[in-house]
Amino acid sequence: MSDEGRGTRDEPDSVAVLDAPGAPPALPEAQEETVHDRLERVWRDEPGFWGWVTSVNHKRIALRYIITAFVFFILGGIEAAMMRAQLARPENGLIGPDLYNQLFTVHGSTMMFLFAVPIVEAMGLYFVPLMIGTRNVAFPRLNAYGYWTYLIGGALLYVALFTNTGPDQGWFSYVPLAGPEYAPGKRVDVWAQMVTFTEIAAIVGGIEIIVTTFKQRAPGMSLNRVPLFVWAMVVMSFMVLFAMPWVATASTLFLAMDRLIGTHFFNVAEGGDALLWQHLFWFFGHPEVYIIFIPALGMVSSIVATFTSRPVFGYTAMTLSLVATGFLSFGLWVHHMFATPLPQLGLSFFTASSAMITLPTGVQIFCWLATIWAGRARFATPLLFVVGFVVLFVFGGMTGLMLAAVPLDLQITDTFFVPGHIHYVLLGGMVFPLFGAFYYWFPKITGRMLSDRAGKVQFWFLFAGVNVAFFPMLMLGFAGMPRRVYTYLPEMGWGGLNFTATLGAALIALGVVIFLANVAWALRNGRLAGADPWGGDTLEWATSSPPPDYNFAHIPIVRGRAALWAAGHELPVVTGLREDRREVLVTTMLDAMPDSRHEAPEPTVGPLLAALATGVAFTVGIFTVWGFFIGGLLLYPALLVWAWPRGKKPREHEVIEVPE
Amino acid sequence: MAASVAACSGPQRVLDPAGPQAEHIARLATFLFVTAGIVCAIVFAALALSVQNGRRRADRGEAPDETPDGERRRGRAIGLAAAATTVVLFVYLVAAVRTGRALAWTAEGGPTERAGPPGAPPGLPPERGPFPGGAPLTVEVTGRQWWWEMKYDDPTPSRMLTTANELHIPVGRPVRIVTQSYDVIHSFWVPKLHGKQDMIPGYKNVLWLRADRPGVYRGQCAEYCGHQHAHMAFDVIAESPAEFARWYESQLAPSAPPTDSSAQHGQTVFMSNACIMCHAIGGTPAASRVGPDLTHLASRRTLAAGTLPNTRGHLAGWIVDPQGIKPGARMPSNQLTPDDLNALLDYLRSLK
Amino acid sequence: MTTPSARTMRPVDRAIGTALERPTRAALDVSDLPTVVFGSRDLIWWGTIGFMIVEGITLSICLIAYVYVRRNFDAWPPHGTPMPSLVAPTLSLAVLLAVLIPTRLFDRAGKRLDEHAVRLWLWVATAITAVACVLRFLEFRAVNVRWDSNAYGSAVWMTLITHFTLLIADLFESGTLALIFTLGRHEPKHFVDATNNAFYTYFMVLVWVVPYLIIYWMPRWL
Repeated sequence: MSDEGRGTRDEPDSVAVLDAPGAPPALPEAQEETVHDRLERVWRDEPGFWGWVTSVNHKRIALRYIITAFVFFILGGIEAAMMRAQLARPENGLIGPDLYNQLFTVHGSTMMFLFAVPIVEAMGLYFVPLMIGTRNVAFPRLNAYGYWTYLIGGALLYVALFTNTGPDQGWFSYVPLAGPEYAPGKRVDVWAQMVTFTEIAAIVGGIEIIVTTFKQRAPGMSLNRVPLFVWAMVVMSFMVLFAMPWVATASTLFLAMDRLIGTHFFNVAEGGDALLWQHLFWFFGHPEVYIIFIPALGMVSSIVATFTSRPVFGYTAMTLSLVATGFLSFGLWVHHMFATPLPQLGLSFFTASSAMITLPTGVQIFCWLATIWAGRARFATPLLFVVGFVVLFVFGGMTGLMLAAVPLDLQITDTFFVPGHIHYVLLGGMVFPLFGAFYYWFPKITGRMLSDRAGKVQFWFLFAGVNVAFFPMLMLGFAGMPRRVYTYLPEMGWGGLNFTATLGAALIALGVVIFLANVAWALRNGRLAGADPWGGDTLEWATSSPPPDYNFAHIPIVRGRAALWAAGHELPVVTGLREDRREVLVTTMLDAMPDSRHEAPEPTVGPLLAALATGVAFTVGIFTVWGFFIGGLLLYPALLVWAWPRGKKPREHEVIEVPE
Repeated sequence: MAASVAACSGPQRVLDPAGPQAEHIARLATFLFVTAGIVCAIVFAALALSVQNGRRRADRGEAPDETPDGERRRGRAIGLAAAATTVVLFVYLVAAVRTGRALAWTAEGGPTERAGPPGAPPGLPPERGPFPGGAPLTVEVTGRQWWWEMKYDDPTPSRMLTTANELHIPVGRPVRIVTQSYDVIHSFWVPKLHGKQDMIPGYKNVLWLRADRPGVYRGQCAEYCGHQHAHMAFDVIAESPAEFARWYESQLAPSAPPTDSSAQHGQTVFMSNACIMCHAIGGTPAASRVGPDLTHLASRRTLAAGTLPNTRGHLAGWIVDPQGIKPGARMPSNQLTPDDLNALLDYLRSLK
Repeated sequence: MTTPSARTMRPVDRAIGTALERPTRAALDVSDLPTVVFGSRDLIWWGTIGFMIVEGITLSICLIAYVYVRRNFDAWPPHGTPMPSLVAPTLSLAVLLAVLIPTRLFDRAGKRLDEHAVRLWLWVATAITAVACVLRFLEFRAVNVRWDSNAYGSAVWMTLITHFTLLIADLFESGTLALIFTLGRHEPKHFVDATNNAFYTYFMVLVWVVPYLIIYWMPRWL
């Protein structure tokens, strides 16, 4: 066991230690073994396929999300590669307009709905319960339901793409182009219902994270001791609750119904309004990108703290910045509509709000810089990705300010400047922290270390690739190239920049391949990690790698903000939770005082059945409105399987406390 | 490399303004480039210094600095940085708003000019002056999948002109473009003259521009509008007021009847084939407005909404196989005998 | 891919894994904490709030669409569309409000752990909710416009449909709980579930008041 990558915090190697006099007696080693065994028996899944299908283990479900989302990332990347191949030369005949239109639509939809939100939410679903010291999320069965629903939505989109029914009106699907008159067939309906599935999953995940964080924190973890990553996930989850319904309603209730049963929400001839769609979509769409970005800010905080061996500077400013960013992001949406016939007078307000949101993010960056300055900085791969993030995101943010100025926006919106901007901020602002987080947390998830050297090589490929691919796009915007064009004339002079961008895409692809190779190698041959290879400050490093099904043999007690660094040599823990049934500790919201013991639900196939019923509702509903009724009818029995009392023997030791 | 240089002289370059609107915007862009560059330089320098310092601490095996004094100093530094950021953002906002105001006389029609409720006649607010450069010229541009219909407004109804895919304007005179859409959302954009305005069904959106030097300025649809969004372009030809007046008069005239027998035969071919179903030619029975007006087709620079140069060969290719050039376009293929095709070409090329 | 658990790891890895957990010290015993608690102490209560937020926003969006498309008409309801009737909708609202009474009763009974009262009032509430569902069917006719007549009709129907799904969900939830108590399958936690169901029912009923006023009264007043 080498010492590379370790912090200064000592790694003791015995399990049970006798206490100072006066404290309750420590548990002898023989009994400690049995605790693990008992908890293992109670918390494990059934073996084999049935266990896999009925699992309600948050780590298992989160890992499914992460892997599935990464597969979608690769599929989306392939779509991007195909588009770049087509655009590399003017009047290229590689891909015709119909396929190209499906590609850019499915690429955007995949990345936004099937990759970005699910993967950051899943990092939360995996690590929030660990970081706050609990055993599972608040609603384990609902969590399982969320994943299956998401999977069905993603499958729907790709079955459609592979059968030439892929949506082709852009990932934000403007009407009337996406309406029944100009988009015949079922392509747009597929898009609308895919959004429904992913929106349900996102909302489910959001509810999980909020309730788990509010009510299941370890004793002593008052709100001002909650790790910054958890704060970020909570802010993101609230944003999900308030933003997702807008796109779901607009797509499923309004657009899909205009197409299916003849409603007139967007039909100008009967009093409907094309701008209504834009308002509804972008009221979701702008917070959506911050939903994607804010968890990444949390990941950066986790990484910076661990790799500088000190807490991130300015905890209060950091949390207030997260909350402010979340709030402000709901006030920017009109900056996507500057070229529409909205009253000019109000537009500058949105320039101001778009500028204002720079401030809290800027404060966060200043605090990280201060932390690195004052810390003992180890530049392992995670911290390298953080540095890359700062460079790319700040630059991308500048291009955002250019777009937020109304007069300039009128020139560069709807040109390649926009994909240039969004990829700088999305790749730089989310994917870079995400890869950093992968290198940081892979040891915890799998028990093995990724190769740090390969990580650094990967970083440089990605960093170069992003710049080579997307800086030319910024220039292409100023050269007058509109977006969403499947080809362009040679005399426009756009060929060289497009070719360069395609090269950059190839570099990015190589970077991703290096990552996959690293993962494949590390799963077999990576160095064993142990519980705390980096010397981290948060509670996930207090348990084994990978964590057992029950996360912690005993719930930890938290004495300070950086829970592990504040704990010192021994971790104070809670005793008294039952070991013969699944029990989690519920605490009060503000101060995390122990409040009750909650029986956590056992595995069941109900969530899968409910997801299938939902799948029937929204898939058959593409073709006939009766689909919703059929799906609803199937949903009820599925919910009975989910929630009907199983009739175990009467519960002993149930302690009921009625309200006063 | 050469292509990149070509981009520096490209026909749709934003930073090559030919009118006051584009000029104001280009100035704002330059200002923002400089500002962004300075901000990035400062932030990256701070990043580099922090990295260097943190690394040095690690190399020397020193503990991280968490002393109250140190934290206070860092707090002050961050406060200062936040204040500086606020100042920069304020300057940015002022620049953006001022540029917007400078465009304001050009956005008089800015507040939505609604087409009105279904059944109600469309209304446009009255024009206001004084306008730099004299009384404005009003052109109604309708975006259609995938071409542009231009209708010049005139107090005398018989002097209103309908044409397609090419916009002539007099240099130095303000032009009021009233944009609307026939089907889906399009966007009217001539980068060298102004930013874009979306053309949304149910709304009229007004855009003012003025060309200050003669030239040909290319425009392209800038809102994804379906299959052939990529091939929906147009030319704005700015010419001296005298030349413009000449052009306008010649466009108003109906088509000259064909003089030679081949062209006459060509006219017969036109009238007895699918052409007459969609295209109008002034002075003939052909009056359909489904497709572009062809009365003066031969006077235009391009065909198929900026997709092809207007030559005999390209016209032939377009007539016979439009789907091969613009797959998905509304124009069907036309199977004609070589003689008929030649005659038709003779006729169409005579429509100057 | 399965997460290797302590059970499936090789013996040597497991030894390393568990050996590298931090040493712990028992410092607090929670075995005397209750296992069934009410109100905001219960997790499902919080989940219910989450659903209320999402569903409330969805209903609001339908009303926003209603108000937004009004700008495209100079008469409201549009020319040729009659005013929505008042009888069936008001009756429907009245029955909904009536559901609040048995709901409040089984809510309080649940907090008293009074099995018989919970069972009784759950059934009464379910029955009245069922009546409300029937009246809601009639209400679709009473609006005097089809969903595909014009944008006004679309917005009205979508608001009604959205709330109808809340109503149906509540019907099934109350009914199932009533069944659980009647069949004697209930566990202590079901008393808490009943109170959470009551909480949701209050929301489902009260959230209809504003849409009711907007759809049926605003065209008459404004």
